[in-house]
Amino acid sequence: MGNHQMAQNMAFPEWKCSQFFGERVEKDEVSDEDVISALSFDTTGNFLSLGDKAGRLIVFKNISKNSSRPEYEYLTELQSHVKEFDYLKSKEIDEKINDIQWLRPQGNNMYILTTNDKTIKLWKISEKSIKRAIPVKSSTLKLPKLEVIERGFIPSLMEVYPHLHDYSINSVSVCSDGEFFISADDLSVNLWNIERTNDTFNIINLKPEQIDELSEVITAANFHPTSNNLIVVASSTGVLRVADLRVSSKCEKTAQIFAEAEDPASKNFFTEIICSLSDAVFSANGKYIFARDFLNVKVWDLANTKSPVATIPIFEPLKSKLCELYENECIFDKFSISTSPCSNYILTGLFNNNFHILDRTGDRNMQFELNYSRRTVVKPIPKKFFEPLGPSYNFDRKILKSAWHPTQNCVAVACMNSLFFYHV
Amino acid sequence: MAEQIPVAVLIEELKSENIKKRVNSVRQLSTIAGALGKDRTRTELVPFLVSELVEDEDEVLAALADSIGDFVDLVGGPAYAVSLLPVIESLCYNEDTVVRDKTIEALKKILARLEARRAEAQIQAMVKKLCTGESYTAKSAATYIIPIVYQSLSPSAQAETITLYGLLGKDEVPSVRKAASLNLKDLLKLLPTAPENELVNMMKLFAKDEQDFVRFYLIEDLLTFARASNAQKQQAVALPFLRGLAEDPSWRIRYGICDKLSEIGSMLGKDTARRIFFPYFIKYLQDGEAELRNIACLRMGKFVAFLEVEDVLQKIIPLLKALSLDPLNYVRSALAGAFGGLAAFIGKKSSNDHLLPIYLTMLRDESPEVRVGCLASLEELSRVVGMEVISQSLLPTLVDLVVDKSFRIRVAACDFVCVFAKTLSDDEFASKLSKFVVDLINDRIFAVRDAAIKCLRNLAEIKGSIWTERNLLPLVLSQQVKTNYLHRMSTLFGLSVIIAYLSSDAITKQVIPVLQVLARDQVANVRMNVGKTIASCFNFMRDKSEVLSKILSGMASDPDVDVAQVARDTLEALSS
Repeated sequence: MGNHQMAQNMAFPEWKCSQFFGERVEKDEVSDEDVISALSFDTTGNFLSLGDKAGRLIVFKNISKNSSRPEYEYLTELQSHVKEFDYLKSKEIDEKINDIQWLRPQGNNMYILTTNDKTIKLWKISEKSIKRAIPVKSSTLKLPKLEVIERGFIPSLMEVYPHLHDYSINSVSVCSDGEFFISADDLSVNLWNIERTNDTFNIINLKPEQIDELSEVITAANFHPTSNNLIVVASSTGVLRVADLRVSSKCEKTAQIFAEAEDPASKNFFTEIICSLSDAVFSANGKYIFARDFLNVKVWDLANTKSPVATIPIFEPLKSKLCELYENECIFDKFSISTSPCSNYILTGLFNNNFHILDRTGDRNMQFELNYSRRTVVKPIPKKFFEPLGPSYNFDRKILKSAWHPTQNCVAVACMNSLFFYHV
Repeated sequence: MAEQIPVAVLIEELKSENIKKRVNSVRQLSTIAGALGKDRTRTELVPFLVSELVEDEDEVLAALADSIGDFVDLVGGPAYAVSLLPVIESLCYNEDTVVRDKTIEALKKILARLEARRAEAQIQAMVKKLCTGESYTAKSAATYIIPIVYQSLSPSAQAETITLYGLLGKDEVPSVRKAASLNLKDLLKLLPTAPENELVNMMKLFAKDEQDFVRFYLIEDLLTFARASNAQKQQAVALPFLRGLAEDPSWRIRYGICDKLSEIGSMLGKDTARRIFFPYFIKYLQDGEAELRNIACLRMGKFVAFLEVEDVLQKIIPLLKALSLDPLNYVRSALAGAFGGLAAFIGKKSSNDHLLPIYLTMLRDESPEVRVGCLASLEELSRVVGMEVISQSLLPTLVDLVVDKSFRIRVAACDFVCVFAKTLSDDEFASKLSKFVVDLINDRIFAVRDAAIKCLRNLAEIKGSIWTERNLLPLVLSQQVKTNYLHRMSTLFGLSVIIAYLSSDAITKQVIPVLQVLARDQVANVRMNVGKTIASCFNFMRDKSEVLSKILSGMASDPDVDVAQVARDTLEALSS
């Protein structure tokens, strides 16, 4: 049975909204600080972290006893990054968290990598008993007696990976072996050893000889889920590069290029902008790459670099709004893309409180609409769908960050300052 | 002097909110233990450390690991050393590498004092607990510990420990397998006590591991194994592994092999090196990955010792031209450095025919890094083919290097000049090099002037007194009339390095007058350095103490405080 038939025969799972955190407020009332800018489940799915524009890292924990349906509760938070000033360039460095990645937990300890534009930090959060010494007056030497005040989550900053990026960091990704991670900025990808903060190895550098010849920037980079030597790098020209760290130390020339031939007939003013990939990930089984440009999700098979196995338009009506999107600059928004644990489904966000779950073959595309009353509003989007988008189509309520639980069919989506969970 | 804090306060501060105080108390644990006495240390302090301190910050734990190694006497001597093992065990759960390294050091100290057989049960229990828990840092720590406790265990305990180590080598967490591969060499060092079959099986596992660094550490493991084995085993066991690694698809593994080619050659013998590893070496010189070409060039000089001259002439020489045109600077530089060893191996005629033309081209490479790389070969090469041939190309190169924009290149140029000068006669030096030396001694960057002065010392040592007097002394003295005070100070620094090689006559006639003049220099710094120079050179000018004292007395009443002080101190040293 081919993939296509199999997908058609499987009933599309029924998703329901299970929880949300946040309130419905008008855009002007949302404090800019609280806008969620990064979202990530940990390796087990028992924890979820989010980062916001104020540089805070907030952790949620799954408290559900029911193993098939997680339920999340706020656990703890810490101030990860603060505003800094770059003296050499006379520029402020924003504290907004751009990306979060979890490392393997150990015992009562959680390890989280967070990054803003320039600095990557490794945080450890330990569940500890906070004790205090009972003051005791004694004439002989006595060891302190301690009483437990409370049990709490104590954060500690384990490592700071210094400013070794010339441009703004857009992603970090941890290697499957837990020993290395990569960080990507506009023009380069660096490889770090988690224990070493003194240096980093540059593995991809797209900086041209003359800076005015610049035509391509890196938008995202991610490690393969199981092979510790493969990374995928997405660029603004719609090109994907898959680099094998074993083949060479510098991968610009040896990376495999996944790019479609351009169709000159369909080019228009917006083509260059909307072909920019906002995110790209390997599927959970490592066989595919799911990439998202402004209007489509493209599914590439690692064995075929010439064309994607599927190009799935997410929401065709947006095509008619390109002018408006250009004007309000929403055309430059970057939406994340995630894989389901079974590798058959893809999650990505959109405007107007909408997010989509699509199946890998493009046969089914479900559009969900967030609301603050826990109803599940979903409608299937057939191929060649058209619907006029009225003035009520809200470009401000966008779901830029979304994430799929690593082992279960549960997703977390963030819209401005609110967080929603859906599950099957 | 640090304040003596009462022990009671130290104890209290073990749980202070302020981390610096906690660290301080932990550093003085031996004081606390001394005050509590052996019994209380054993029954109260140590358990307290285990239950309360091991959740503390890494900085505190590192201090704890430092202190605990010396606790054996504080708990009552070797018979009680076992009571310290729980502290070691708890520290192994920490993920910081500094803490872990110190913990291992502490354990080694404790084991040295422990009565091994009596403590076997506890040691065994500790190892088992670390290996079988959930914590991957504890498992990694166990791979460091097993090799160091192995020999103190009974045969049955040893067998169990090896089994545990084997399980760690198959752990699903990559960092545990990495630690197992890294530390396998310490187990291999214990051969033949350690069971060879089991260890070889572990190596087989590691050779197939997906993780690059597990295979990478295997290289060192194999070298250790080979060292402990006879020739037959080396060929039968180590060699196949090494061949597999030499062809590994990951460039890092091939790099690791290439790096250790000479060690592999020494271990397995010239014949194996030639027949089996030489073809790999040739491949590495042409590898697509620049790092590999680089390491191959860097190791070339040593590796040729395992080859026949014919091999070099037929297989390596043809590749040199292409390598000298490699797009990457550091590869060309590494190649340039290899010429010395090559020349020494293939002899004068072949060097002249094959090496010299390429070397001379590289001396004129556009990258200063490459030209500096040529320096590494210069001496050996000139010894083989003679300096005259090289010097003609060397001079234009030096001219460029001495005025290069980067000061680091100019520092390297000093070394060049030095090597070159060694082979020149008086006249040649005077006509060709002295200008360079002067320029370098007068460079605007101190590091360059300093390197040039050091160079002078080397030259004086090699060439001897007469040459030094005739060539270096005038050079040094000529600086005294420069308008920039820094250059005048170069005179003094230069003098202090060559003074050992000057004749008494030269000193009286040439050096002393200069000192007298500079002692009245208008810049205080210069005058002060006259005092310092006299102090450092006095051993060579003992017979001139009268005139020197006069110079110094004149400066003792100098209006500048530092000048006067130095002069007075020197006078005192002279008279004693």
